[in-house]
Amino acid sequence: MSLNAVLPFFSTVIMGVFSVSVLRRYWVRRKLHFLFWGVGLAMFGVGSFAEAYFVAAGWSPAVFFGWYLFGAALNAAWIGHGTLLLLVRKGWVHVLTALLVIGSLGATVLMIQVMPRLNAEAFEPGRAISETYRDIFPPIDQGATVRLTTPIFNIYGLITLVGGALYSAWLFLRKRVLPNRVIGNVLIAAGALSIGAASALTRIGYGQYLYLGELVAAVLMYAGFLIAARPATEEERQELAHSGQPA
Amino acid sequence: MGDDSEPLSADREEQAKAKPAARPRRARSRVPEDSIFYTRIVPLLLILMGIVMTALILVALGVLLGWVPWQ
Repeated sequence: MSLNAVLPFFSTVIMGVFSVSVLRRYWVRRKLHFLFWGVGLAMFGVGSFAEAYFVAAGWSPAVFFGWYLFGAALNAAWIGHGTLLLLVRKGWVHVLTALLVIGSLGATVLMIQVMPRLNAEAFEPGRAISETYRDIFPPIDQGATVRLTTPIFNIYGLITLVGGALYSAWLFLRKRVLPNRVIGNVLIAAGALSIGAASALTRIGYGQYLYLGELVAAVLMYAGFLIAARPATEEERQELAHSGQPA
Repeated sequence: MGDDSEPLSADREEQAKAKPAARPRRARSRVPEDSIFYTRIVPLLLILMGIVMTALILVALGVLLGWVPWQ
């Protein structure tokens, strides 16, 4: 059994725990950035689950739908938009929220439209889906328009998620406070860059590194989140204990 | 990402400066002053990751605009 057959199972478990943890925070605090992070992380988890499913059970058009739309196209933009909502409290951010939701619905429609034209025979059980998806899709000018949207979502996700984490780390470093948030944001940025690099390699024809990039991203981002969210002082620990917030 | 209980943005930093009396100061952990890790390695990492991020954005833009072969 190759390494690529095992990695998605670990990524799925980590992203499942991670997204539930963030969505619980949204449930308690009702802050929109937690919702976007939680949904984006759940999308990442759907992508990993799809890869694990392809390894364990073989081809399924519905799972391919989830893998491409949520795992390849949308998740980075949704997670990154959560970071933007946290960092910027201006009216124009809500315009971007509307654009992201409308754009995501548009990508969903494009994905639904291409589904009847998928070539299931191009699926190879022993190979990573990131290496074969190009042959499963028809050419872009014959219906796979959804693929044109992916770089747009991913550029937005990269700028907001990585840029936001680097900016936050720099702010805390400049003020010389909360070293746990400096380290947490560095790890989040590194994790996001890991999946960004693996996705870029996939797009130019080297899909065999995607699963490894996903697992590294899942581990680094979850570790970064836990470290950044950890109460740094005894005072913060007591506040957290009294508020009853999830850790 | 991270917790939201601290001012993360420049906007909120300005708000904090505008109303110093309204914000009770909290005991915060501090970045060690004489740490090579925080004064040299972390800033270098931030710069390197910024460069990698820019490179990845350029690759994605190149794919989108047809400069990089689309596979």
